[in-house]
Amino acid sequence: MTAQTFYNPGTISEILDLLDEYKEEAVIVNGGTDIVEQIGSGRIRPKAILYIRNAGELDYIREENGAVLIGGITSYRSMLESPLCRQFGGLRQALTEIGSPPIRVVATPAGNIGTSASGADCNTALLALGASVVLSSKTGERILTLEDLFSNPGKTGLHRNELIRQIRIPINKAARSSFIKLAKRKAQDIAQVSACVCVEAEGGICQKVTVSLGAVAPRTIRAKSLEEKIVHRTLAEAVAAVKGIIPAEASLRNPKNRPYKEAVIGVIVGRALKQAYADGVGRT
Amino acid sequence: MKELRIVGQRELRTDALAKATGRARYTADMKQPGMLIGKALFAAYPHALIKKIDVSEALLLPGVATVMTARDLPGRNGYGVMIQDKPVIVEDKTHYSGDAVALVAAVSEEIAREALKRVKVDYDPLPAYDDPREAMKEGAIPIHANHPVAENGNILVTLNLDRGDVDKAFAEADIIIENDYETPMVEHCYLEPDACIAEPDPLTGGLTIISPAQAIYANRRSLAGVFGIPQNRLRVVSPLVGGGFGGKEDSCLDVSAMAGVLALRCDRPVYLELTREEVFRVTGKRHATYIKHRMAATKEGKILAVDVRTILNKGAYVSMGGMKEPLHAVTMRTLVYAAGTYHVPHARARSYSVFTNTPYSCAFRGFGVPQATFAVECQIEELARRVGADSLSIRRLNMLRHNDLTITGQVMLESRGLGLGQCIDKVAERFDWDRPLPQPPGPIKKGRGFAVYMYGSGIPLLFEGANCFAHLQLDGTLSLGVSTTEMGQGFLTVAAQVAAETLGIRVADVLVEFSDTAKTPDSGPTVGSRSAVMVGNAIFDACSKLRERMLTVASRYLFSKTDPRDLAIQDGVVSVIGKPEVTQPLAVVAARAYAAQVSLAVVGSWYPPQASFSALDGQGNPCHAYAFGAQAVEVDVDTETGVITVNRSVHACDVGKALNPLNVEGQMEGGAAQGLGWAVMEENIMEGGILRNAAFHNYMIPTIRDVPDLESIIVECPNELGPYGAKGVGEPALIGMAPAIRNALYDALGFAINTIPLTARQVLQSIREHEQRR
Repeated sequence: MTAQTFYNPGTISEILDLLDEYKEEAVIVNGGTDIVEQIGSGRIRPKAILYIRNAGELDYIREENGAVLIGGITSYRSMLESPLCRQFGGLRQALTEIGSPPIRVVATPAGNIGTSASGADCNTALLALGASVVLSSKTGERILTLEDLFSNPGKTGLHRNELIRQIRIPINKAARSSFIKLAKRKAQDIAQVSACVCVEAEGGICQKVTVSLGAVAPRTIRAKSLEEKIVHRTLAEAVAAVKGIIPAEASLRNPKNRPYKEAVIGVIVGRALKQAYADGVGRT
Repeated sequence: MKELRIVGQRELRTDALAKATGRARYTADMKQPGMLIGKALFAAYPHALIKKIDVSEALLLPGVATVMTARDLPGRNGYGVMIQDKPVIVEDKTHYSGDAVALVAAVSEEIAREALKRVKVDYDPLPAYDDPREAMKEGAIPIHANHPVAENGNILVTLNLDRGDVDKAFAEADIIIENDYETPMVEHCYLEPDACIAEPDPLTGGLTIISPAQAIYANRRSLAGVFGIPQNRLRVVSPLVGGGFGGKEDSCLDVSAMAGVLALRCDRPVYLELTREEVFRVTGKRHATYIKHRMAATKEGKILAVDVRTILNKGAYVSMGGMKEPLHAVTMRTLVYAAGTYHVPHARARSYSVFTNTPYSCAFRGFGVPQATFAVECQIEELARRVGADSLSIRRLNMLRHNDLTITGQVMLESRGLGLGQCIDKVAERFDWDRPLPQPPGPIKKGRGFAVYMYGSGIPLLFEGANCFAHLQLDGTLSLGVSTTEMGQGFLTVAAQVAAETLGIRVADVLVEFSDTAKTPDSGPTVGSRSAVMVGNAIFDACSKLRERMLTVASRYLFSKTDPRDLAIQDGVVSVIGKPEVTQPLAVVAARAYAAQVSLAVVGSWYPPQASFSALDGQGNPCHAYAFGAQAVEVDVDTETGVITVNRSVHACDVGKALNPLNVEGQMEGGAAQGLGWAVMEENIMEGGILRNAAFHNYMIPTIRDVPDLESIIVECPNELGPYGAKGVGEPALIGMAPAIRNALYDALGFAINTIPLTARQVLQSIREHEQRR
């Protein structure tokens, strides 16, 4: 460890004070599964470490005004055990794919959003579900959709004095979602490609759809080019339409894995769609 | 033979409780405050000339005890299991990125790291070789300027096997099958990283090294010269080992050499531990191989001849063996097993072991047999398809039987255990092999694959034979001493079982002292699936001698001169056979023996029949006995993503006698899982001598979700020379999985892929290419 000071704030206001004081020289450690490795290897050398896991007021999952609210230190394990979270099919599937049971005890969705890891399973699911984050700083609060947060980090991203206080997932009873991940092995692995689709359908025709993709660009992306091929079509038409398609939003630079990823994106989006339909989308 | 009471029982591991509760101590647990911390600066370039090293800045850092370069070494700057070709610290040239350029000892790890940053090295980089096929070409830059045993340039050794008239057999054959196979370099992935405590001994003027090691006496022989001390003053201790798989036959030398020279220079204890990234960077690997296999057969599928060329990636240093004499252990096995388990009258094999700038290749569960068998078992699948027969019938048609000669000219003997036929039959039955496998609709295709293997127990011509101490105590308990390592394979338990069975005491009354040169004689290294057989026999020898002495004493002093042959020892009680009411505790007999000046301490020894093998034509009797096995799998392949799922695995192994069936099943399951990793996901990816995936987040090994329920069937065809009939099982268990999976994939897809690992990317690409060809 190379940081100079370790803080263990117990409240949101303490965290915000410290963030205000250190700004970019502080690093928030939540679950620590990503960041501690970076600190330990010397890749980042913060002046201060803010270990926020003892700020108990940030640990909750509750429903309010048609949305599920998840606190900034809530773990994946808590989410996996929560019926509120499990109602979202795609999220439930993504949660079971994250790391291993011990990792899920410490790792947090806010942490993965904070580091914007492109292959993070939960980021992919939350993006498709239209989730947003509440960002707090000493000077106030703002709400940002994950789509905005991920699509233009330089402009709309997290400021260094901000804390991800809360994640909000809107509840849409008419929608069904599904998540699929391809990895090099069947557990404890980063996605080669992951996809989450969230669909509303009527009479077998897709009325609305959101498609998110992980590990095909530096950040998790929303693939509107694929959504256009799905909406207003039947399931079979949509699956056929996305097969073999490389979405314009993808940005694959590594020539070694690019052909493989490009070959499977359409396949797994199609399969996620089928799963979402099988889960009951469009049923009355 | 009398009925066995302890051998053959599913005895629980004697070390299980301490390990399961986390209280068993490993090397890292023995680190003490006040020890200096050793660290190495590894080569920035895998192949480079070193122009200058400046350590002056590093030496000035407070807390640094010493910074060493090659000029500061106390003895020979070279070590290795057989050939002393690996420098402790490189002097003027680097051969791979795991070469140490400088060593530091400091009061803390932070200071040691900081000191390394201050060492300035000027390099003159050279092109680095990853591929032995490139490195063996004419005009390639020699990696070793003056290698002590290299045959020609970067070719370390060429071994030949010639039997019969191969060209004639090919000319007369109905069927000729020729294919190229490739198998990857892979990491052992033992859980415990390499570590060493080195402590100068003021009493002896020597040194003690404590390190997880598979071969403490080999360490002593290799390192005493490095430290400039006589062998008897180098005490080598291996605590419990957290997994070895062959790797800790060499890697312990790497850390022990470094920690030892630092400790001698500072005259203080030094602790040196490799990070996981350093374990990947520095330590040995499985030899990558490139095999051209030609097979000639009759139209009925009877194999007439094989003609095999194998190129092995040796990496930077020799490790196991090195030349024609002593033999290169891994290279030799690629010849011996070039025809697998089959009776083949004509054979020609050429194996080339070639230096590159990758990490050195060393022993790894199977010693080259998995690579050779992969090619043969793929070929036999092809042969069955060409003949139009089921592959099992082709295997049965060709398999080695009693009095058949192998391609090395060894006579196969029923009396040493020939269980291959039984293994095939039992797997086929359990697997329901003849049942048709319907293809489901959709992108998932199903396939089934089979493979068989054989594996000789022990490492002939290098370190065969074993010794042990056995010392009966006056309370009737027994102290055993073996240099064998306990690395998770369960030898401590099996040793206690053999001793208890042979002497007639309870397992709980045997204590096995292990792997410490101060306490145990040389039992040979813990490699080559040899310990149960070789060391088991040494223990049998020692305990038989003790038993005989105790029965003689009992007869003379305590049982009114009853013929000793009419006495028995069971559960630590001596009695007259047929008269269970007349008894004496063994403790009383031992005390009587002690008073009567009968020695209670013995050395047990066993050596197998002298092995033979000629490097000129590959003929001889390499091993006294062979384990056999059969492995079947069922796989799903997702033709849209290339993902393979192994759904079922049935595996039978003829182990001669399962001394402890629980242990045998553990080895069979572990081997199958490790083989699955080699088959579908594992690979050290090298680019210009740099390892691109040197951590567990990008070097994949199977998780439990990647492995199906592993069904194991124990077959027992006794080896007349093994203790209670045993043969080795540790390594054989890995061999069948990769060819079985490849053959299953062939079955599912209808075309073959001959390179492993069968990653999703590789499989999908092959499917696409196959579609384009059609």
